[in-house]
Amino acid sequence: MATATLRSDSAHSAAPPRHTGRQFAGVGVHVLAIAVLAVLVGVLYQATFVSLAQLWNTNPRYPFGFFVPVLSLAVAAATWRRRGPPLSCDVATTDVRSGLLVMFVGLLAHVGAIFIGQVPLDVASLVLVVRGALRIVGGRPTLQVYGAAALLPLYMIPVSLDSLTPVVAWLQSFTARGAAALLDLAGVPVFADGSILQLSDFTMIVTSASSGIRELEGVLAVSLAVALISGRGRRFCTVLVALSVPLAAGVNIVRLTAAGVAFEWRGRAAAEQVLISFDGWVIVAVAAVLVLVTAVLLSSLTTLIPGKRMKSQ
Amino acid sequence: MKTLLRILLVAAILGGACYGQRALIAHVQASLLPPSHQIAPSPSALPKSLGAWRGEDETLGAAPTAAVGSLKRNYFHSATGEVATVYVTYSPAGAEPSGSREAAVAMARGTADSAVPSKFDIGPDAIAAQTCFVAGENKRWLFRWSFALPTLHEPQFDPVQTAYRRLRITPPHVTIEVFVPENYPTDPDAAREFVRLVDAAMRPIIGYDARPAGRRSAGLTLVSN
Repeated sequence: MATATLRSDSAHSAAPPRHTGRQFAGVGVHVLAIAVLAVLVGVLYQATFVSLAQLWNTNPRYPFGFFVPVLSLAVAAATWRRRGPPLSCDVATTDVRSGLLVMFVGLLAHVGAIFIGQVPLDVASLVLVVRGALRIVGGRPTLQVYGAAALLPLYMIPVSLDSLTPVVAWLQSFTARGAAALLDLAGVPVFADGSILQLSDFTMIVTSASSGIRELEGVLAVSLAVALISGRGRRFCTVLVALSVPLAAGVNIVRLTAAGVAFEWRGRAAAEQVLISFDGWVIVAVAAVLVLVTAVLLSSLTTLIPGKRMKSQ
Repeated sequence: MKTLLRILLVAAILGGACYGQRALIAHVQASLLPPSHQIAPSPSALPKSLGAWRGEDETLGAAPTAAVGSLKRNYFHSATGEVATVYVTYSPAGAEPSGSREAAVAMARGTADSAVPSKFDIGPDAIAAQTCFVAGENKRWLFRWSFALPTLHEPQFDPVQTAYRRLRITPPHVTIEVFVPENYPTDPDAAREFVRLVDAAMRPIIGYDARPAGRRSAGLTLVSN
């Protein structure tokens, strides 16, 4: 008779596997060792973090910057809880050599960044240094399970996606239609024409800036982090990350709908106030809520299809 | 290798990198002083007679930020009476190259006939950005081009500091702007000829080793000693 077992990397498995090899000392020593290394990395990249903070403060297009290091730490903590600390007794000499090489390249990039003053290069060097250090202290298995957490800081670099014209055009149309549908549901009379939303005495135009393209990078980071923290495997991760595009538009759908409802109930000034104040941390919070709700719904959906998550022995 | 040794190895690399970084930054930032003997060209040396054009100096209003040694001169064509206004601005090393306030205001407020200024080849190596501003029936052309001046070799700096200076300090710049109103259809062509005359007259003043700055980003311009 065929029996079924849950996938070994599933969050639902009874005992989450830890990477092979004898573990190093107690939890306290793990925490101390990782804390010392983290502080040293922090001191080494102190100026980079200051530059990034200035960049995020002065760039209204990227309110997610401050959130990315927190997401990265959260993914690392979830990985620790699920797969054990990033230290191992069994590390091959080749892993140590590879780690040293990667750290060396990262430090070289850091020196280059000091000379040319390019923050993105410095962030890339940070990722390389952390990945090299992980390989030295934990070997290849540690790098495989913690690698994603070490790559997330790349999202700290604001990237302009405004030039992706087809995506922007689709997002504009999607956002306008989504907001019109929600306003209809809320009983607000609205007429949608392309990227224009016409309320009785108030017009909202979905420009490229308010299409969701500027939130896309941040929503991608949040989706990836939530998927990794959930530990539900690659398929779940891929679907959730792919949903980032409509979710980025969803942030602006919420904004336009809120403005439309405010106009209906409180008038033009209230609607304009909603449009103005819907910025920075509000965008991050709405994006996080949308991603979390989507992840929970997606998780429930995959639980309802058990055949996909089991395999015959 | 024992786990503790590997942790100590990583800690030693990171600690050494922190120390090295601190020393490197202190070393290179000591070189971030203004050049001690940069020779600023004198814009007023621009000849007052350029072909059929005769120049009259005008007092410059508020000086552009971080720019020194500015010149404003009106040139009158002896035959047609056409007027061209020339601004020459010198920006020292470390300052962002800036032009005249009038050009900045024109670019900020004026209605240009094109969002992107078109290019005008002055000579074999210099390109001016030309923009036509329209206000009602009036048209006015602005030609703007600049040169990065070579920074002088300063022996007190070692190769590391010199490399840092070259990468981080914007070299001194001379920016030239010419405003010409368009009253007749032939005026733009006459203006372009005048721009060539101004460029030719400025070359000996700023030095033939100055490099036209329109082709590369000023922030990353490398200038040979």
